[in-house]
Amino acid sequence: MEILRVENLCKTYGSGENQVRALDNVSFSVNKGEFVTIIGPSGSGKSTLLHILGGVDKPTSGKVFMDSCDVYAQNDEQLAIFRRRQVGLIYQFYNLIPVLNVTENITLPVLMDGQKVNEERMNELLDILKLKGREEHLPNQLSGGQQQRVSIGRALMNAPAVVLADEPTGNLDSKNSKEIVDLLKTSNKKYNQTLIIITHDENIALQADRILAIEDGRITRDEVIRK
Amino acid sequence: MKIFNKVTLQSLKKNKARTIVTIIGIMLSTALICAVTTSFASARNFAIGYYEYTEGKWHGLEKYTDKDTYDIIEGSDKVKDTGVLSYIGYAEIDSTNSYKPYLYISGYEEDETGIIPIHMISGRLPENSSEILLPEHLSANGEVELHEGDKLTLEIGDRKPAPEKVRKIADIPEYIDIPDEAVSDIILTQENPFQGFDDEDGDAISVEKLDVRETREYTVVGFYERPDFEDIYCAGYTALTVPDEYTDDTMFTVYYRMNNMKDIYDFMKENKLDGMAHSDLLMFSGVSRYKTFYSVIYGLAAVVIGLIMFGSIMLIYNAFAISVADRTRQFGLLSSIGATKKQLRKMVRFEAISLGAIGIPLGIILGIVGMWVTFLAIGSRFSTFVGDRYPEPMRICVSPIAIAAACVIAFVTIMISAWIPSIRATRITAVEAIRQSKDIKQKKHIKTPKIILKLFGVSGVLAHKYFKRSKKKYRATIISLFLSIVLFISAYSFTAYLVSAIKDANNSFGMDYILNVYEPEGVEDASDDPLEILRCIRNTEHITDSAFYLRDYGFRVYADERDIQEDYIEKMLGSPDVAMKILNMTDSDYMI
Repeated sequence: MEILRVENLCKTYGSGENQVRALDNVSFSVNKGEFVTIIGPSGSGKSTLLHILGGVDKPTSGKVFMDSCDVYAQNDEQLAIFRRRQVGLIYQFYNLIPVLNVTENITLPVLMDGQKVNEERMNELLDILKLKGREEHLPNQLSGGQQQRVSIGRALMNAPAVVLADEPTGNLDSKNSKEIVDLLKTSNKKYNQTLIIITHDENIALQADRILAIEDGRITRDEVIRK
Repeated sequence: MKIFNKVTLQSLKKNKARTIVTIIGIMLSTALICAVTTSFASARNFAIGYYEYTEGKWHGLEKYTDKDTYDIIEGSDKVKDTGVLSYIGYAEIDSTNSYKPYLYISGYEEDETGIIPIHMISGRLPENSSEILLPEHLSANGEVELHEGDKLTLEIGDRKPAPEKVRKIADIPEYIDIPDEAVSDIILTQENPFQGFDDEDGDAISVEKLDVRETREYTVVGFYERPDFEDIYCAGYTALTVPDEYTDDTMFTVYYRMNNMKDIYDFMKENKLDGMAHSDLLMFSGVSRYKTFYSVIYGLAAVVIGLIMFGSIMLIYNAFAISVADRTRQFGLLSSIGATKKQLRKMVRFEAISLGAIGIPLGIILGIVGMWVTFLAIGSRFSTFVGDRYPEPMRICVSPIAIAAACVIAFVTIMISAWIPSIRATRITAVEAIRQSKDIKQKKHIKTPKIILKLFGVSGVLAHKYFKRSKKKYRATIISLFLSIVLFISAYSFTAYLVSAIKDANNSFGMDYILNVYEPEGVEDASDDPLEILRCIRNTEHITDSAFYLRDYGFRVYADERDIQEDYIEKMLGSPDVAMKILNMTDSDYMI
């Protein structure tokens, strides 16, 4: 079942002679439960693509359909709610709210929605993320790996349609990297969670179901590794 | 929403420096606004106090009216208090002021309301109709020396016009002559100046008579300040005693205070009272028939508050914008995980409210304490504006309306200051905010004049380049600097103006010494020639400047009725003659 479809996506920065084409007519689709890695050299447009998929950046032209909803046809308010419920974003630098503790950071998307926190799910996540006993800690009291686990928790809390991770292990040592990737894979398997990861790490790339290679804003390779 | 409030509060706690700077900004701005509103309230209170003290707390006044009118006023449920002075009569005393030869004896019933302004100097108020209270100027102006405990035998009667005396002085053509019968019923009161003419020495030749009714003995029980209700032209010094039984013929001067002072003009109209309303007191208390007064006062306040608001917004805005990058990032983060703009703006509003909740009360306290200290220091100088009749200094008046106004204005200021950075922070997309691509953009090569290198060295060059590349960042700094200079200069010139105004009020337009030279008619003496005296003065050492004018009294000009406004003639009881003073001076001394 198709969960995500991208049509002729273009993104340009600047104007005139300084114009940079970050994305050039990108089209692809992802099925539900698929684990996709995006690889490519620095400045190839991977992050831009991921941000546009996550609804935090706007394309210059082209369309994104998530769960058959035209993402950029929505107004600002709807787009914010889309980000809250439909996608989970994981960044290289965690981007946690420094003044909130672990549980609060994880449950933020739910709290923002004004909904009641599903304690069961939160406990399950804390368990999986090995964050039990650290519920009250602030981000600066945690290690890098722990912080990234919190941000994964936040991304998974609302059980979004797609989890997008932008070099989630780029800032971590190999032991922590493995843990994080295992976690993401677990969620992919356990919850049939669609997962798109940007990475430089070939090991991680090869664990995916499918690899997309980007160069100069174009998809140069789209390879299904396993079904 | 709770989570956003928590983020806001925790962030405020974390960024202590910014929070404190913002609170100080809010505090200062609130204090300034509070100082302005409190000053206006205090000045108004001072004016009310001044009028209530010197002229009395009455709202309406009926002079020399009858018992019926007194009963109407006394009996009305719209009237709160009444005070009454009853006419008893005049008695001749040995005054050296020939235009004020009488003691005017008035009945006064003691009242605590202060509706009639009686201010004791010594002794006590009379307790029965054989005791009398005398005004201080009886001795100072009339040179009649009496002391407490002195017995005083007075022949009391009514002042009446005396046409026969007029006839004795001059031949009056028959067509203007007034027959005795026509004036025999007229009783002259304090409203009528002494009827007489100047003789050669400037003393009065009387053309009135005193119709003595009775002889009474009084004991002097005390002295009081010259009352405001005795005008300078009054023919008698006002002495107060306890009145006998009132009769149907007793004349009353009724002072009354309304329950609701707004009713005064309607009350007068309804009851056909043609007396006065205490317009000065009413005006400062907020009841004025003339709207312009309030538009001027409020306009002035609005201009001052507007200036302060502009300055405060710049100040608080800068405090809010200190870590705009920080905030932008935080907003971007929240936005990327699904916070709507509405939620973000609510967050800013909450931040402004929490900061205001601390800053505004502190500012109000600071403003009140500041004004309290200020008035403590300079409050007594305000008396110089109103002469020495009012002994009270200007005191701080903490009016709830003034404070409420200050709170509202301060809150609006904070909201505006917080709004601008928040709009800026929410305008960019989430990813831009997170990425923080607000680094200085490299433009083309910026040339630095060599003089900067010579004057300030390499650091100067770097500063120049930085400034050239991000002019926007410096705009706030420049405006702030400019504004503080403007505020400083305007505050300085305002106080300088105020000081010189107080000096002027003290010294009669900046002069240190006034010399009056009288030149009686027909006397030609070179030593009294004003020009000669002026020359002497000008040649005296240490005198830097001098001016003079010649003044003639006693002109009476008959103007054509058509040249005078109708209501003026009406006021002057239909007479078109106008008393004039003529001043002669050189053009160079003339200044408006």
